Amino acid sequence: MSWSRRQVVRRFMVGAAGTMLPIGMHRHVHAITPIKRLILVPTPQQMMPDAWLMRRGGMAHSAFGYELGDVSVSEFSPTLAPLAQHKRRLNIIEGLAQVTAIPSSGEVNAHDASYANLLSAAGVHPTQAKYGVGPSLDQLVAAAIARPDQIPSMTLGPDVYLGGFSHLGQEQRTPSQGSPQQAFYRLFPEARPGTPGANPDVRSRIEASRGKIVDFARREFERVGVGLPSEGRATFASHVTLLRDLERRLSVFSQRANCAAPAETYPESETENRERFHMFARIVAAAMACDRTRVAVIQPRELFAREVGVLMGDVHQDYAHQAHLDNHAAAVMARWNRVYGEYIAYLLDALADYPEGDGTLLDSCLVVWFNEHGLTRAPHTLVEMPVVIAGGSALGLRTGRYISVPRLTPHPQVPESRTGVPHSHLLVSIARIMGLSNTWVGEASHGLAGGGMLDLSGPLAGF
Amino acid sequence: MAPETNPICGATPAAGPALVRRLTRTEYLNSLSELLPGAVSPSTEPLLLTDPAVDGFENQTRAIRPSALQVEAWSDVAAAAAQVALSAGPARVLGCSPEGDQALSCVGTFVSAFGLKAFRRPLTESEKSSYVELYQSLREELDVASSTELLVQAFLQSPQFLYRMELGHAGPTGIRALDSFEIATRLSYLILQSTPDDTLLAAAGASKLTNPDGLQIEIQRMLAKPAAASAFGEFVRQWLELNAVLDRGSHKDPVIYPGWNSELAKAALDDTANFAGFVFRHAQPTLKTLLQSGAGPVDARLIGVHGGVEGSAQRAGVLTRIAFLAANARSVGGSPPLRGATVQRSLLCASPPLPPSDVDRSEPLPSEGVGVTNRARFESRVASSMCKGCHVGMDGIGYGFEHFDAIGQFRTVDNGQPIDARGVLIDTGSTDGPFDGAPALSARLSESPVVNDCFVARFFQYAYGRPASDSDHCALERLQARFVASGGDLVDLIQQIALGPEFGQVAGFEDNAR
Repeated sequence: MSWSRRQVVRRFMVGAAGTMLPIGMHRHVHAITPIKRLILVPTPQQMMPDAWLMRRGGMAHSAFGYELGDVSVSEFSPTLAPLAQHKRRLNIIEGLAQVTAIPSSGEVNAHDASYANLLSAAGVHPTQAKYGVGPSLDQLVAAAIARPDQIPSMTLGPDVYLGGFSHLGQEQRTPSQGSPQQAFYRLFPEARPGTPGANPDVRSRIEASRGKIVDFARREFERVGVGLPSEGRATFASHVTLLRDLERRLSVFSQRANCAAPAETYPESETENRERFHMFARIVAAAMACDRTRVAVIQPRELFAREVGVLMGDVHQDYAHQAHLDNHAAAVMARWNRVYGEYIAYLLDALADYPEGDGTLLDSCLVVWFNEHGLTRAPHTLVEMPVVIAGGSALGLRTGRYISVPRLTPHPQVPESRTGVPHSHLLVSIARIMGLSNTWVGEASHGLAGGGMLDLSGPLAGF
Repeated sequence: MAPETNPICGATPAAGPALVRRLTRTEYLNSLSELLPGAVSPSTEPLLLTDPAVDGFENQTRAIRPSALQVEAWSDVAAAAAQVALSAGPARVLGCSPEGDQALSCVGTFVSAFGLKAFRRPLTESEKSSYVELYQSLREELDVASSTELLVQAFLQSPQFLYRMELGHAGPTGIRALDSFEIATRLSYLILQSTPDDTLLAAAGASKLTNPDGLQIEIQRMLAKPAAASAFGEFVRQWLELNAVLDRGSHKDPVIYPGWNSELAKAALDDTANFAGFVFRHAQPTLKTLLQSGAGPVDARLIGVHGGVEGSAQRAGVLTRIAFLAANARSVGGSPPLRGATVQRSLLCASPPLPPSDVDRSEPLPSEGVGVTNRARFESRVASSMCKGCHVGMDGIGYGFEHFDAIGQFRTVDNGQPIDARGVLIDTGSTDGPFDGAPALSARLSESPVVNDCFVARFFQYAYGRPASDSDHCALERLQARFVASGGDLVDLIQQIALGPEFGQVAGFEDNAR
């Protein structure tokens, strides 16, 4: 059965009203210190500039900004129009540059580079661009803000190129959960159906003892790890930490927590891309409302031809790579971007459906829509990056703005050329909003072809 | 150069690094089935994550490290498998009745026996005590069945089960020699991708694996098991990067290929794995057979696509099976660059460069010219001197597959024109030169010294869970020479890896525990 977002939320609110986290309590608690949550949504390929930009009199590639409050829905660009109803909660930013993905010399595959660098700003692996160099922002934030008894972060999305944008560390991608059903059961284990014929009391007692088994395994890892070579020791140390976290989560879940699972079921079978994203959006919203996790990355997979209105072909090869040469291909890619805009709108609506404090769950969430490549019809650009940030007003973020950043930064490979503000600074800003005290995220500085280093410390000015 | 004449390769073989290798998804599932037959159900498999591939291989140690999701998945699978295993009652799992005076003795016997299989070595007294004590503490609150279930869960989450720790024992030279049980583990995962069976553990217990005769007997026995052929099929899937058939290869133009769907893509993977198993069991289990045989079973679901049940004059070897052809194709037609580049990576150990970012990489479609073949469209696309430098190598191979469309169906005409499947092989040493069609290409590749050496290097990487390093030079050279001398015998290659001096030892490391 397929449920609309509002149907689901209504069921959740009505059906679980007696057991879910009391809304009034949320209001009271969050009026003082709202829980901080971060949701990153990186979408693939380039962004068609004509269908995205909303310069409203601002000069191309110049620094300017304006308030979105008085912009009518009809004035929104086609790609961003689905977000218009949330305009007062948005920060739309154009002109950032992934300078850390551009080496001072040599070629790099721009897909590999962005998948490694977009969320980490850690640069590109010296020999294999497809491997990450350092942890991504979601993992940094999760390590800092997750309660020990929570799932620190959820990385969601099936069959994403190279395994996705999230990184645990060097050469370690964060495994991505592709099945909404499995993600749902992970966040709401009490919703997992019991085994037919099994005695529920017995199962419940066994389930309640799982933490003890995890604790036993953890102590064994600690004991065995001592005698291992250094790399193995590090692996086991990491495993020990993960088991300790799991043990805490199991102990909390075994008490059934204080917030009920949404009364929704998710199919075991594969689903269409849009429906799958909608499921992930609803699951993440419900999980954050219940404080089951505070960080999520939702990675939509690349769209099929039929989803962007063409009968056949491989959109990546046949349209994304053609958009700068062919108007039809550019129109197809604009539809591609718009579909992802609709995805984001669905997610924002899902979050906004949960009342919290004086507003909604969206206000204490920072939702960041990153895009793999830049605002150019040509594919594979790592500059002119579009970013949309939604929510965050309860976290102290000023919202309702369109910001075009200055393009005065030296290009890493072309000394005479200037590009936008390094996106590293935005990652620092987000990290600080989330309560971290980072001076930089990823690389502290980046080498330039003409010599010298680009300082990447500090937050994004004017944000 | 023969290894014995290479002065760099002295009498002391180089030892590889002492790695702690976690079980891959495949290894975990196989091992679980060996430990608890029937415990892997359709509902437990989806809980496990797929492993990230490096160079096509999903078992490379540096890429498969623990994560929160992974650790939780193992815990969930352990819980699900233990529940299934206990569904017939605790006595079935324990092998005795854990009631009354005999309870502790029964559990102790189970811990020793099950622990031996789970840890792939006998438990120490201390380990045995800790598991028995765990059971006793569980029994204070739970019944026998529940306590046994949780005890099984504990074994399945143990580091000794989830990780292979073949670390050896320090000797006077600094090199660490593996003991019999560590060799048994290496051997079993090399040949069967699974935990050692009872016979192998018994041989290890009798110290038979540290002498060549005893080792040889076990190698032969294991190679004869059906699982050895399946394990080779698993290698072939990863070596040829065939999972692409489930992603890129599963999206075909529904108007041209109305019958193609994700189920057929999965069938194509099974088909190639079965073909690899057929080659492994062939009277001549050689690289030549793998690349040239037109025989072998065809997956029943693919007969309509493949065009033949058993044998076909039009097809020769693994590169003409549906999985390779459909994986390296676009939605409308086969892709000579994709097919050629995969052959370059997997069989020639070359690294074909990615195209520059500003070139047209769209699929040349039939609408671009009436009566123009797929080949002609690609030739036109890469005609500029900027493209030719790279495409002459990859397309020179890829054009050889032009008899096969985007889902691997054989054809004699394309867009009304006769097929031209002539190509030119370069950078393969003495086998360079022109050929006509995939069977001729495969024949040339199977004779190529570059291909033979590359195959050994790729299998070595797969076997050891890491790429070969400079210190592996002598071992590789020896294996490559033997591979050629054996006529490219695949089974012999596995034997030679297992019998090689470096198989039973690892490099020294700082031992913090002692």
